[in-house]
Amino acid sequence: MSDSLSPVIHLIDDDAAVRDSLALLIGTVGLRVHRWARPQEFIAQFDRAGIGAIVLDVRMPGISGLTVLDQLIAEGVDQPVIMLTGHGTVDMCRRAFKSGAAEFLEKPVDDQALLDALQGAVQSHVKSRQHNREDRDARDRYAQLSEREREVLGLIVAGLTNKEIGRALDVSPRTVETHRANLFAKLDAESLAQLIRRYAALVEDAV
Amino acid sequence: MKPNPAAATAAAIGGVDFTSGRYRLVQAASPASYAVQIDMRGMVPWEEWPMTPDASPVRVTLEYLNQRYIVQAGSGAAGLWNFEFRKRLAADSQPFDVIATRSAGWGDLPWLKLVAWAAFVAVTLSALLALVRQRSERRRAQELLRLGQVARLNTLGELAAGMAHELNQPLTAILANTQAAKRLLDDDPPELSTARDAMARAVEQARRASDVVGRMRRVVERPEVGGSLQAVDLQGTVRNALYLLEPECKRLGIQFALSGDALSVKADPVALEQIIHNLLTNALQALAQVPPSERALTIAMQPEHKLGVLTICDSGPGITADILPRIFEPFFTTRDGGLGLGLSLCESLATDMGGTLTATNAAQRGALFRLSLPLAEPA
Repeated sequence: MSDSLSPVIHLIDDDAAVRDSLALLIGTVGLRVHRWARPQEFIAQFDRAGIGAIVLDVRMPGISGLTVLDQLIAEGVDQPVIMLTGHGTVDMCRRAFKSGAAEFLEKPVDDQALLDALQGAVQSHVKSRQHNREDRDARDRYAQLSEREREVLGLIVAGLTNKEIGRALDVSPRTVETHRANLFAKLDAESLAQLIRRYAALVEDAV
Repeated sequence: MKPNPAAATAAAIGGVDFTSGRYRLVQAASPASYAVQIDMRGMVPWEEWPMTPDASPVRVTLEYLNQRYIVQAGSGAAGLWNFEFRKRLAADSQPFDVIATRSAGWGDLPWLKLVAWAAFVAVTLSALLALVRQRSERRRAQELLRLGQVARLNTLGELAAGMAHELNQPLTAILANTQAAKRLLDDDPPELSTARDAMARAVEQARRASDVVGRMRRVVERPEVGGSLQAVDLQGTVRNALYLLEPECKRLGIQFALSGDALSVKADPVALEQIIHNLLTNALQALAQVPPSERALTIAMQPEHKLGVLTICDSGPGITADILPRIFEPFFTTRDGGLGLGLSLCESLATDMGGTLTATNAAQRGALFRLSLPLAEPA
């Protein structure tokens, strides 16, 4: 995993002058830029695991940027895509957003607009990756619970007290207490509120 | 006298001899019987006969059992087609068959009438065909005109898209390079050498943009019209343009008044046609904005000194004061989707031909366009 590495902006434009100048501009705010002249090469080779964003020109020889966008989304690429075009129409813009573009900017693009869009894109990508990791971790921990512990967790999420849970499961409140302690340890929860926030969805899915 | 019942018995035929053309009718009765000998030659009422017996081609015979009596010889059964009429005479006592035969060959056909009819049909059909073709040709001409306009718009659209891309690429690079340079210079300490490189690249891209514009100009440059001037009938050109716009005029219900004498001006025929067509189209568009009853188009031509002057005046909303000074500016338009090139082109063409095109508001209402071109010297 290269999550820990600094974000990379993938810049795809067939025009060398545009590519180089935009790379220079993006570089001034400390973002790393990977330049691609050919969209096919980019699709075949770019690091999908990395954090970052994609800047895609709409009009390129051989393949349209919108087609590239469709391919990326179909493949499940999660880097946000910023579309650049020299002659955007409302129709093209609508299509790009419908296909899942994060942003649609017109050439010549103002530095602040592009850099803001890129920083926003990178932040949202980092967040979505973090969210996904937390989600995965929660799932893994939940999988480690015993059958009885899951029942107890379900009742905790439903808002029952230890006494009520003991009555419902026909066990002593002390046993419930033990299960509860195990739950907090296994699920790495520090408070009841955190436990419920992280696992309520999983419990509901399991029912 | 009391009738004898025996007298009612039918007469009988006998002694039939068609070779001699005779037969007998016998009436048996009491106290006496009668027999009548009939000579068939006398039987035919020739005065009432519908044909000329010697000349008619129709053969008429009477048949009884196996005998045949020829009433009229006719031309015989030698032709290609034979028509036969057969009927039994309605007299019980003389059951003869009357047979009329007409034989016809190629020579008997009414050739003159046939040819005349064929010619008539051919002439009528070709006249109809010509009418249909003329109508479809006119429709096609209109369609071609429309297609031409669509194609021109498409070409312009394509040109604009291409131009946008070709120019936006260097502009993007220029903007990004200069903005990057500014950021680099704002750094502490400033990154001078990278900023310098960025500026050099911006200059390079500005040259590229200027080359694009130059290339574009060479592609779309108007051919010079000054060199192809000739004497052109102004009125004819106006009529021609009006003819092309006739369906539109009809649709809008426009009353137009055309006045003035035939004038011959020095012009390029195609350029003149384009100017007039554009001015008329503009006028129609202006007129479409007012109620149908107020739509009037006045076209006048008159010589003034050495100039032929055409004025086109509509009763539309006219030109507002803020628009009037800019009306011939390229890319200036008040219409949605308009290119703003029509009037600009008209003025350039008029100037190229040594003439002028001016726009004012008419005294009463509407816009007034005035095209002046040098009169052609009499040959």
